[in-house]
Amino acid sequence: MTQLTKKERVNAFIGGRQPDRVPVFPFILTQGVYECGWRLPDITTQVSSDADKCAETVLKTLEAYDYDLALGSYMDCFYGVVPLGGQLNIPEDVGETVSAARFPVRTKADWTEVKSMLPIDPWKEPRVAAVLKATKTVSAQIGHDTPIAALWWPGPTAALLMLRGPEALAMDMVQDPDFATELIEAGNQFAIDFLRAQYEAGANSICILGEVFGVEMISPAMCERFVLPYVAEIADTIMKEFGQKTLLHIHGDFKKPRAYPLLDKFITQAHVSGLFLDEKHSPEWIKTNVIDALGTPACVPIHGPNLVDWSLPEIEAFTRDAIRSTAGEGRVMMTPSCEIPAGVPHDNFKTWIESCHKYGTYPISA
Amino acid sequence: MGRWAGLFRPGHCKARVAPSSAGKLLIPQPNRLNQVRKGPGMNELEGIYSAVMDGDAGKVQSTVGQALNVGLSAEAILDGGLIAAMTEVGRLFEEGEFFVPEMLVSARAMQAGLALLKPHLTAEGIPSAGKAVLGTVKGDLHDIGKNLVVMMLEGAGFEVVDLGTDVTPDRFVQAVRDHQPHVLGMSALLTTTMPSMASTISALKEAGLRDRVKVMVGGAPVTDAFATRIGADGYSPDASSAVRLAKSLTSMA
Repeated sequence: MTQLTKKERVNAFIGGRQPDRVPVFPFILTQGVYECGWRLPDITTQVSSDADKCAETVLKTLEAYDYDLALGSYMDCFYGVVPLGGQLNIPEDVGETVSAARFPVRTKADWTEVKSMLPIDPWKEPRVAAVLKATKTVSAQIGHDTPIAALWWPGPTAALLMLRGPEALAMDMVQDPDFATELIEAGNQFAIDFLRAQYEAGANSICILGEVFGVEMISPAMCERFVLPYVAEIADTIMKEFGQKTLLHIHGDFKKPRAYPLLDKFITQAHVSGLFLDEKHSPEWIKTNVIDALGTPACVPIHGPNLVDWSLPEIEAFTRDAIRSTAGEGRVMMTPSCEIPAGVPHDNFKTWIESCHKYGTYPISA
Repeated sequence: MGRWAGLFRPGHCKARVAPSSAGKLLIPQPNRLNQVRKGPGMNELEGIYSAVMDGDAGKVQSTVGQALNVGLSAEAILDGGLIAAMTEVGRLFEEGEFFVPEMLVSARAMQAGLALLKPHLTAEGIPSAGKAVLGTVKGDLHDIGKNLVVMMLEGAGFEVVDLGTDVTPDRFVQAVRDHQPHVLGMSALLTTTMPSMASTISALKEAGLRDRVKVMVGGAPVTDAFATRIGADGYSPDASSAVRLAKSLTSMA
């Protein structure tokens, strides 16, 4: 088969067509910082980020590992926290990630003031603007043949990361669902604005949405109320404005009978074009119950901790078997189970990628 | 479970609860109510139980107060009201009826009642089910899972020392030295912070404390295989099973 560009390869995946080789998306965020020999305080502060370094994390890891789908920049998950009155924890030690030390909406009484500061303009918030500037740089250098995804979190996850924190928002969903809805809508609006800005900055491929609540933490009924419509709003907006499809990364065990029907609803009602489930789903289950049963492209994940802990032969064997059992007809992209662990050893990462290339070239041997 | 064990024994109380949805929780209707001869304090215990299941912290506090006023012992209130309800919460979670939000809300309500009861439990000389020291390991600020385990253990009658997040091995060791718990629980949400669990176990050995405490671990990336490899005594995948594990380890300690 004619060798495709990385852009063509990822387009084939999300379009349900067989590519020349199974594409790989390692979902690199913090790992890229350490790959470049930096620590987090070298790349971000409470109020600003280094756009050049953010871009370098992508360019350097792409060169080192030759994966297919890139992001436009290093990102952490906590944009908006500081301008809205919260505080970040930016650890010094290698292997750690940025987190929120204090969320803006600690009590419901804080919401009035925080709401008055919304919406956040991504181009004017310095830490977010750095991501966009980095995306411009990355796009200029590799965008001609490498797909650059736009990434953020939809409503509930956006709200918990930017405004309220997971525990408080989870309790709001039960005790004060109208308040939870307000927060989620605000989070979703930021998600749309930020994604839009990423495309304006040079993202040129699929939109990836990451949903933490999923059915991991909340019931399928709550997921249908608090997640589904917001994913739909984003997917429809991105398709309408940029002609790009959406890949939904969502946590939770969808093998459970009450949870499984949600997957079809994400496809048919929220117009998601591909599914990226977590480590609770074996490659074989994904092939049978997502790719074949729902007719949708899907990511086949290797569990992040296994990428860290397994031996090189174990990583290669898992990857080989996963590809052989799922990717024969296309519609598969290889990924870790979530963001690639910040401490994954170089050789382990390399072995995984090389195994994807070795065993993922079509035709896939049985 | 004390003298009220026959009234609120776990598994005998088949609460009928509709799957949770956004909004107010439905109050369970225990079957065995019809079989119990009503006596002084029974209404209050049922009120406490229902209020915990419903996540109503204010009502838990008021019904605990009422139960104390009508002369129920703190032990009876703890066993027959709070622990009974939290046992049911754990069961519903494991059966996929309750999820994290419902557990949090019920657990917070339980804590509100427990705060009122603690002085009375102390005065009555009621022993705890065991003592546990818990924390999220160094470099990790995630605490929702750890907080749930803290609350579920308290709801099961444990005395819990919560060290918070970003806890170094030395702090864990010092806490074991200071509090002499039956169980040490460590949580991690990041794969890069998991090695701190092994470091803590090594530190306990160096301090000569390893055989004085049972170590249990948990958190999203943690697995049973990892727990075995680092020499932990147990692993639990969620807050509800953590209670069973802690009870089991406590009986072995």
